[in-house]
Amino acid sequence: MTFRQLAARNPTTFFIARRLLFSIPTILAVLTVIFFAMRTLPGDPAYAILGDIATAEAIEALRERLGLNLPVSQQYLDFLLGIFQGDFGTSLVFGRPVLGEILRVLPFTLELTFASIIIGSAVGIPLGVLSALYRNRLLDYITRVVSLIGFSIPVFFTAILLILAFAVHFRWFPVISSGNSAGFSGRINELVLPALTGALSLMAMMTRATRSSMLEVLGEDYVRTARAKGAPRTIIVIRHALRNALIPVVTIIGLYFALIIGNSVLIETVFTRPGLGSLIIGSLDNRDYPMVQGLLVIYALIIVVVNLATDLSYSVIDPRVKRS
Amino acid sequence: MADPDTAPAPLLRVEGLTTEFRLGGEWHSAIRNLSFSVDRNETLAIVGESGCGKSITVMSLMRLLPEHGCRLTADQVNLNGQDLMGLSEDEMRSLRGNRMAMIFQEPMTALNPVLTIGLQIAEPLMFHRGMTLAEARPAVIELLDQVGIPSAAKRVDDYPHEFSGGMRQRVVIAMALACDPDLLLADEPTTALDVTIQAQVLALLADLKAAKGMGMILITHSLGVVAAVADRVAVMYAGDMVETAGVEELFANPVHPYTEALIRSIPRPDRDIEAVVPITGTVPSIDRMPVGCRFAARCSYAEARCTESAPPLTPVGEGSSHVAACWVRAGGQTA
Amino acid sequence: MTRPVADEQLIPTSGSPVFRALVGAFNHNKLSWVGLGLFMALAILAIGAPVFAPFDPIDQSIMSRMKPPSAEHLFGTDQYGRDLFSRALYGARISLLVGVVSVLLGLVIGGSLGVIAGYFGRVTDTIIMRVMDVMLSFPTLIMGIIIVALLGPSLPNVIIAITATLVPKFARIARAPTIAIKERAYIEACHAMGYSDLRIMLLHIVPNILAEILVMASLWTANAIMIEAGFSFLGLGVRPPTPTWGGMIREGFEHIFQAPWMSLFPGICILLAVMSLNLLGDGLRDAVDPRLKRSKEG
Repeated sequence: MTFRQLAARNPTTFFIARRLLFSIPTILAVLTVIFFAMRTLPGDPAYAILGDIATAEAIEALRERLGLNLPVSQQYLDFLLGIFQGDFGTSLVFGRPVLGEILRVLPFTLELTFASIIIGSAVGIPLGVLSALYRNRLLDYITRVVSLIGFSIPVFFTAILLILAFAVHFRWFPVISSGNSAGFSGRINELVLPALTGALSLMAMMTRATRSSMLEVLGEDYVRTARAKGAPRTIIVIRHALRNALIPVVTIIGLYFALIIGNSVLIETVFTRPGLGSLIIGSLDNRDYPMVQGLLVIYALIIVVVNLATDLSYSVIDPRVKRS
Repeated sequence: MADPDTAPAPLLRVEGLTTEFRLGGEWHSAIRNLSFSVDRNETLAIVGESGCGKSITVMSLMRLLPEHGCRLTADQVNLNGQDLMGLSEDEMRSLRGNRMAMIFQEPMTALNPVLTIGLQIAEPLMFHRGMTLAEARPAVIELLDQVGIPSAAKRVDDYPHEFSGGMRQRVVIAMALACDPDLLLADEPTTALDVTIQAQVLALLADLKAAKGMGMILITHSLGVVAAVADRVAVMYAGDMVETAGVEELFANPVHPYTEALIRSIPRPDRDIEAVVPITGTVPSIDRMPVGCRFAARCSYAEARCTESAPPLTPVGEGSSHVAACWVRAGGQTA
Repeated sequence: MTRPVADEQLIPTSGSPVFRALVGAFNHNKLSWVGLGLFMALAILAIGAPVFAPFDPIDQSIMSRMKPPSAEHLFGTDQYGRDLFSRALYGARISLLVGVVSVLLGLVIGGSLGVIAGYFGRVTDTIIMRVMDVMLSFPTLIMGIIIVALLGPSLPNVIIAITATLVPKFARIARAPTIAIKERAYIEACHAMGYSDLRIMLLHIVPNILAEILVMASLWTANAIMIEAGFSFLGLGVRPPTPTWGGMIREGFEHIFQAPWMSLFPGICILLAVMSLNLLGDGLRDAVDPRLKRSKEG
């Protein structure tokens, strides 16, 4: 079977496969940069890890454990082969495989990220639509001020304000989001404040993007065509305008995925919540280089997957985007 | 449907239609005191340069102009015995795409890129006949077939970008015809198309008009299009209707200097290119309209009285259906 | 001006598009005035901190620990009895310094890389942009945290880390318009007249893309201030006792139940600084964007 036939039979799978193939050079470049960056750090990592008081034997033993006494080319190959076999090395702190530790906390960060995106979109998109429909009226001004603030407030400050209001004053939700709560409702209860924190900046961005996109789309010829057909207002707004207006908004969600994954460092710190962010902060504190290296690989992979998903969602939402 | 007792009344009668826009705090008329009528199974062509108010006229009839900064007045706009001027937005909405439908100039942008053409054609049936998308489907395929789209049943689920410009205009026409409207308003329906496609689309429109007995208002700047499909012609200049006549009468005996200039500006294969006389100057802008005849500044026949007051529409010769507004050529002295 | 007259005739869009765009922005959007005013006020307070501050920002006073806001201590005091208003004024210095310096460095380094990549194209372009792509493969904050954590927390290292996150962004936005302008007739005319590549880039390309870059620079200064605050909040920023807004929030958060004002006021300071720059940047973008679009079409 030729490539072309394969592409015709299942365009979506082919599209994903092709995009993954194209991201391989970027992933390789990222891995290379990570490897050499970790090895050009000032000083000997073994020395940096153990500190001044370590004995020469201890340092030598650690160097051997980390494979630092091998030639650099050998270390590099081992590193690459390891990554592709799912072996990210062994954590110096936990003494367990890096990948296992990462996969253990990954769900917490993903849960936080998806919850933030769902809340941010669910509030931001309708607000943006209303703001565009009532342009230059009171609702529009209020929405614009709120989104400017939401856009300008640091996440950790949002977190503190939410804690003061909902955990300290009203006592509705826990201050700490340890991730140890039993059951689904306990887990949701712990997720609410961190997710709201992450959602605020996305909501602000989505409101702004949806508003300006809607204003542009409402002036399009096809909206006039819909009016000329006698379409009711709600159909014009939702079916004819919003679907088109959402196309650029999807990009924002993709960009924000990366931002929230990054911001989760701050959110997880404030709420003492497990996750990639807490893990990287802890690993940096403890000089757990294999763990930091593994986390960097995971972050880069997440970004690659998110970019792919963004491109895919274009082809779902916009029939003009060909998948081949 | 029309009451048979009032059969002699035209399908559409417009009296004194004026549309104004607010610019810098002042109201300026884009079209002024227009009166015309369209019969069933008749095509009225409205011609004029761009900016003369042709599109504003049909947009005013459909009430598709913006709500703010725009004002519409008329003695009557009567469609099928119903005065549209008193209707609310909801009542107008139930007429749009139903009793009166519109075809736009740009088939490339008039269709929604993210919706299938099947849905877009079905929409008028869904809005006005209460059908579901599934119920409308056979009718949609029938419509696509009528407007000459090959293998209609297969193409109904395609998206606009999968059609050529001419095919898209056929889709737009199918959409407008979905509810069998009494009146079809076509705003430069062929301008954006290739010349060969233009002729096909015009022929299609003429056939459909005859088959369904619709009245049609066709807006165009091309006298070639007028000659091909119109029964009667109204010439507009700077928001005024300056001459109205049957299509043969107008070409044979143009009275208003602007009509004459328009006809002379068409290149013709049987004459030298030197015989083509372009019209010099431009249409005055909406906020700088002269007091008298609006064409006076560009008119070679202009006299002093032309700049003093505007000439009324006056019958020309024995044919009472031919009227023109010109002090010099149409003997406006009687008014 | 020692440039030959011929240059002026060759460049229809040169003049000073940046200046005109800026003036246009301010006539167009009153909110950018508010943004500029607010930012200038913060800058004056930061520069004049030694004059305006009623107390020494690191002087501890056991007698007045964790006092709520009062006439004497506008923002209250912290767990060491330090005056939070004075600390906030000094904290503004770090925030604004880091924001402005790292954006300037990022603009110069990233902008140059972008212009060079766009101007020379081919292998140069591929190499530079590949490296930039790799840098953009990590979340901004993560990359900054790792750099600053590995280099060690200090003011220069914070600036280096934030600059490193900004370089690929500036490179990207400088490259695209460079490629567009490179194709124009007057650049070919410059080649024909034997101008050097450096001269063409500096005198003919940079002035034409600067407006677009400055808009982003003001928005990214806001971002840089947020990132610096994040570093300090995580304890990776400028070392205590030097006051930083993020560090003050960190300390305040530890006493959130007894002294909420300790984190509220510095938080509001960050919000105001970031908001002023966002207002400024939004206004500039509204004014510059249509201009740029028009000149691209024309």
